[in-house]
Amino acid sequence: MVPKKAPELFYDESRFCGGCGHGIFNRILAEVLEEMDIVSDTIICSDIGCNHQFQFWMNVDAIVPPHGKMGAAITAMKRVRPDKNIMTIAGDGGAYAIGIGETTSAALRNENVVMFVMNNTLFGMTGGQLAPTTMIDQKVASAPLGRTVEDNGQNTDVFKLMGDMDIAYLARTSVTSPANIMKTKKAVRKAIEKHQAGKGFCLVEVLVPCPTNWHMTPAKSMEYIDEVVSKVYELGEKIDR
Amino acid sequence: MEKRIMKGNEAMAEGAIRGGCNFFAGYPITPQSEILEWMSWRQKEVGGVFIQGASEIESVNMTFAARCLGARAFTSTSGPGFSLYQEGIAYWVSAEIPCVVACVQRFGIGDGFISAGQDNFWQAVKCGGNGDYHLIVLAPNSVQESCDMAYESFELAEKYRHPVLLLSDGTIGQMMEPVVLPEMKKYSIDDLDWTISGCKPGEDHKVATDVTYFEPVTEWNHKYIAKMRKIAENEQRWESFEVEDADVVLVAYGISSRVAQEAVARARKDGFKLGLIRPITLWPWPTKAFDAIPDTCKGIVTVEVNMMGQMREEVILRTKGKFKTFAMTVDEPRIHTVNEVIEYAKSVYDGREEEEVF
Amino acid sequence: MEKIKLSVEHCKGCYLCIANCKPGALSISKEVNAKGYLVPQVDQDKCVQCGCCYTMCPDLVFEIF
Repeated sequence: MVPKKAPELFYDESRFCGGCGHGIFNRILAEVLEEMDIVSDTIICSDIGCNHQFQFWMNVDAIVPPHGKMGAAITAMKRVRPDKNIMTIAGDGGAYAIGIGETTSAALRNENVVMFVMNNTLFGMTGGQLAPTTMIDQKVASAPLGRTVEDNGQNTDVFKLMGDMDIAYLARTSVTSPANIMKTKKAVRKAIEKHQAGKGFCLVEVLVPCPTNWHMTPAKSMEYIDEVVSKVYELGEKIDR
Repeated sequence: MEKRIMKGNEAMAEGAIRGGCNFFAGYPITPQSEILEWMSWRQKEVGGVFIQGASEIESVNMTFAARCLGARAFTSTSGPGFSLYQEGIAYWVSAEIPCVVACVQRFGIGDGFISAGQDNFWQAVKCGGNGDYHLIVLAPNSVQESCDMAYESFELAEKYRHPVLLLSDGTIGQMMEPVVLPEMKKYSIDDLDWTISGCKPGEDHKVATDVTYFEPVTEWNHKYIAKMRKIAENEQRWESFEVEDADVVLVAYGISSRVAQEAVARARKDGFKLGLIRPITLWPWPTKAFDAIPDTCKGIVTVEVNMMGQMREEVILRTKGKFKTFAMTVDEPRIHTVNEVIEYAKSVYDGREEEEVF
Repeated sequence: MEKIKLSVEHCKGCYLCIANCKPGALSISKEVNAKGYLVPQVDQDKCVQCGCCYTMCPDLVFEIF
């Protein structure tokens, strides 16, 4: 048996809702940072949204630019301090809606940075409105009858956006089971290792539940990801070079 | 001391470099692009970082991120680009990240014209973004001042942990004059203790963020307001010419102040008692300068390269309406001539002008 | 012997731990924590220390010895 204990860099309780995927991802990232012994050489760029709450319980240096501007911020951060591990924990709204320009620019330039994007298919903090990742027919607060192509346009799949780009790593994982969480952890570590090797832009999208805005129990939310969300957003490694 | 003939924009860029600037991000826009171009090769020479962002929005936020991590970060823009900067600048203020930004003003609304103007006054001086703030605004009126203000801007911003705006204009930016270049200042990204550099074992982490997330808000707000009061009291700068006995006082900054200063000299030769207050800081506004205006003064005239007389409102406010206040504006993108200024001032003296506030 | 420790004061009642506990060692107790959630309880005898509860928990409730 391997003893399991919360990573030491947590200094407080999380402020996420019960069953929130952000809490699970924060712990995964904290474990990787401690296992690689790089906490003091890591600076995280926050998005604004639920994801930014990592800073209230993780003892890691961070900056918080305006909503969605992570792609620009991490570009500058890495160039100013190339010796540090520069990464962002973003939401799908920040990374693919308001920040799609910054995210895409950073990827097109193949900046040597890491983006972890939490995809819960909606805007969580503001109450569950339509995000670019909201699936066709999915009911959300600003598309109460469900997303339609006519009214809301196609949904965004980062594999389609970046699949042919000259970037180092593009993967999608989930947190629905211990096995999937271990896969997420591997992808997180792989992205950071590529970053340290100077390979270029790495993006790991993590399918996470938002039980509060999905109006489901946490356990049901995990089933929903397995049965519905991950059918629309394919899991796996799309780019690995 | 090194003396060169340079454009105002180039002098500003070089002044920033010599003031320790080791990061620049920007986006091309006339009439400030020389700053961007200068930085593209000059940062390489001094071991700094230059990034041409994919937009103004990228550039302003790159500047924020670089400054958070310790770089003396500078960015420059103009007209509509400055509008795009406003969200980012509000974050600088709220997170107390002392970036420096230059706005080389142009004329007109929206895209407007690429020629010289003074159309960003309201936005630059009153508060361009959301929330309660003014930037420390320095307004150069020569190539030398473009250099000198950029040179000192980082230390001024760091002194208060508050952003500094260099409010130039297309004419000051494009014209060439001799300039004496100062010595290079030494600055390293590890020099300041508030910068974000990775959390060492046993330390509490640092987060460069909007205050409302971390600090007790009321306490922070009191501290912030005290800081703003201190800046308002301590950092007023201006130049006055012949104000003490003036019958009409001109108020002008940037390129307009060059015309106004010449108008004062010529009018005085003809026996017309004209004076000039040139605000060097537009915020804090040099309120103290206006104490010297005699009660007999017939009127104050702001000379501005815009249509609605943006600075006039500031004068009325700061003098509490004590004097009749007029704005000499333009309805096309051009600078006033000296004769036009004198004629207008005489017209004010004779009581032939109507006060107007939009 | 204690195999697992629960810091139930952190619990927000999502019960992802219970949903993923294959041996059925975890169940909802009658204890309410300060946040107002009915917290999980563990049957130490049934626990096989697989760590699934630790892995799924978003709130760092579990410690496996």
